[in-house]
Amino acid sequence: MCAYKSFFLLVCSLLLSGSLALYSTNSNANSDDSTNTAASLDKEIQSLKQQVLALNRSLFMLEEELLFPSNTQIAVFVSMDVGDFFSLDSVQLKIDNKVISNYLYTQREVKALHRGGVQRLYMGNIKSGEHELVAIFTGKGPNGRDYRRGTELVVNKNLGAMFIELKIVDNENSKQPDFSIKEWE
Amino acid sequence: MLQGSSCKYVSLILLFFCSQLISARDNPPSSVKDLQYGEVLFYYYQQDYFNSIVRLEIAQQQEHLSNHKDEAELMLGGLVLSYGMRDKARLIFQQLLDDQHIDLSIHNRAWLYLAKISYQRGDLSGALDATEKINGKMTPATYTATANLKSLLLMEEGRNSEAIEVLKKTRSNKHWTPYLKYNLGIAQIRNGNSNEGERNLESAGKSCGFTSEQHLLRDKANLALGYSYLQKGVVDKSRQALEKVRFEGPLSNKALLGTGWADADAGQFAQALVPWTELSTRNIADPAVQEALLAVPYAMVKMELYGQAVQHYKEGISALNDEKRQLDISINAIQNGELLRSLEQSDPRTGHGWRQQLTIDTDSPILHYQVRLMASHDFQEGIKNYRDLLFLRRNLDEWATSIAAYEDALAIRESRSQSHLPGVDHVQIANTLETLRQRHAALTNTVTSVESTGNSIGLANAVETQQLQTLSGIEKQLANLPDTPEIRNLRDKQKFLNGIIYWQVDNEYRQRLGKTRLLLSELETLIQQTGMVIGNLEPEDIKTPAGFPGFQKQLSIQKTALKQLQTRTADASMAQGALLEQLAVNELEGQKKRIDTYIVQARYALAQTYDSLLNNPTDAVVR
Repeated sequence: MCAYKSFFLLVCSLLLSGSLALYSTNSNANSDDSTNTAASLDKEIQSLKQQVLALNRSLFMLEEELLFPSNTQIAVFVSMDVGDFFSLDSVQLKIDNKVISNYLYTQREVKALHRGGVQRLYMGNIKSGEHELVAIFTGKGPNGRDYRRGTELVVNKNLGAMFIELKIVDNENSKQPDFSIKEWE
Repeated sequence: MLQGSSCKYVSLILLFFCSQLISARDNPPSSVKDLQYGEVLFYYYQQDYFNSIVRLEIAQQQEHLSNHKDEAELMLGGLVLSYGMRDKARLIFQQLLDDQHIDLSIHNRAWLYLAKISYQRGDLSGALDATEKINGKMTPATYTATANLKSLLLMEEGRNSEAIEVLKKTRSNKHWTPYLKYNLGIAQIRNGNSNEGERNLESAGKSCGFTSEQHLLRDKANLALGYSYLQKGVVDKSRQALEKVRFEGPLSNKALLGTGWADADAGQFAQALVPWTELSTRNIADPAVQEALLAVPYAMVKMELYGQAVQHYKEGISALNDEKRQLDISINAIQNGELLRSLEQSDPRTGHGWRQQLTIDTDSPILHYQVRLMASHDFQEGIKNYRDLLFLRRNLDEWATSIAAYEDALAIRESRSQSHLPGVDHVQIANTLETLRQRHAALTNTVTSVESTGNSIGLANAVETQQLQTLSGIEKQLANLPDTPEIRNLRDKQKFLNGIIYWQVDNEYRQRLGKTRLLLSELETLIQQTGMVIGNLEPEDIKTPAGFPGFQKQLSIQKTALKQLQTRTADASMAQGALLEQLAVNELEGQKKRIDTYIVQARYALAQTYDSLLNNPTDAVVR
């Protein structure tokens, strides 16, 4: 009985300490060398992350400068305010009647939009002057019915980079989604 | 023993939920005043920390976050912390705290983050100092997170009464209350107030909610409650609490083992056999199951069923020996790189960082111990770092391909630019523009003259002008011919056709004049816009050939940096992989040692049972 009582206490200890008890036993068994290796590796990984992030930042900016100079740059974003009346599946974007983007959303992306995230849908180049933008949204509307709606805007491209926002907003009065295009100054 | 070990248990819970709190309850505001800030949130809400950080830093550098400046900096700190860059995060928060002009709420959140970093580093007093700096008016999320972290730190330092005081004063919302009660209950039990502690655990065990997180909390509360009663010998209440733990849940094995011990403590060994027998049929990789293999014959001995006990001890020893062999196979597989291959195959391939879901193929017979390995903090951190390195390597490889493509594109563009260079001469462009302006002025004069003189034919279009010129030529030819009736007839026709054109132009005079004026105005706008474009082109495009070397130089610098980083990440991956394998092997070796202990205990108990059997020959040994 005595042996089993100590056995029982071992069980108690195991249960209430969970896996951390095992961890501490093992970590005690580890040599100081392996702890030092882990610590120095962790430092090196932190440093690598920082440098790879900096490299990405520089290369993205260089890429933008090279491929999309501000004279001709246009960036189109998608945002959603609330989104109770519309569940977004896809967006088609046309500039001057030419399809330039067809985007199909994942659930994760739609959730991010619902929470206030803004997606960069398209980045490209257009000439100075007037252009017609058309966005066609498809998804599920009120009562889960298939929904397809377009909206358009004529924009005047000047010399600086142009930022356009495609907005999906709930209209509480009509209980329908509203779609619009806004040009950011 | 209960008190010391339960502390670690609480720590794990609290650490987990503190992280959850900061990520889920203390989210950045969703009202977006800068598009680029919204873009960062888009990645952040998908837990893609790598791209969130890149986009945030780009937006900061391009000065696109004027409306979210301070929030963005705090967010950057939180993001780099989530991505495992504690040193950088500490620096960001420290800089924010050094800025006296920043809002108090941001100061408080920065201190909270700093406290968390210190805690992760094991610097408990540093973490406690940081929580002391949080003061004044704060959001409910910051308030609750601070109180929880502080109570956790106090408990870690063994200052349970102070932790209880903090937890009792903390008012929280419905979501947080069960977690607080759980922690308060554990702190009270550790402090010797077991009755109060049990009441709080009971309350946490009855909390509402159907998420997996809430189910798990209830299970944990009931398990802790059950073992607290068990320690006090209150077996009925212990059994009641343990039976509330979900049968299919992750804590079920521990609950079944405890239920059996509650019955055994009450001397009800036949009843104890029910949970223990069920447990003994489960996955033997779990220590609770290994324990059950010995607990079943133990109960049988108590019931004087020596023959069956001998059989179960033998089966148990055999199963434990099999398990040791299985552990050896697993250790060999890990040493042959199976673990790293499995990790690479199941890699989520995103920059999700330290909160990425850690799953590996536990169906693999060789790797089925990884479930237990995953519970180890060091092992989890090791996997996260290894996966992060895999992601960094892929990211660098992709950029290496892109840089090569950009170099080609730049070379082509430069060559094309040089071939067009003579034509793209600034003086020539300026002259062309001047010519256009002069022609526009001449056309304007012509229209003004038409308007003032009433000479509508000046508004004839190109076809009509051509026709008039042809008719004029015909008129000249007819003038040199003899005056015969046929020639006169032709002259009449020429005059008639001429008249029709004049009549047509004259008849549409008003419309034509208006349209011409409009066209001239549009032309003027276009010429002005062209002038502006040329003015802008001067630094950008006319001088483009001078820009090529600039781009090429930048690409070359980045290419060199990229190559160095590729080598370093490859080396770090190899080292991290080796470390991970070592951790896994150490863990499995530890399991082998524990099994050895069980086998020794079982053999000793078996010998004792044989003795008992000899003294009770009526209970035959089942062979």
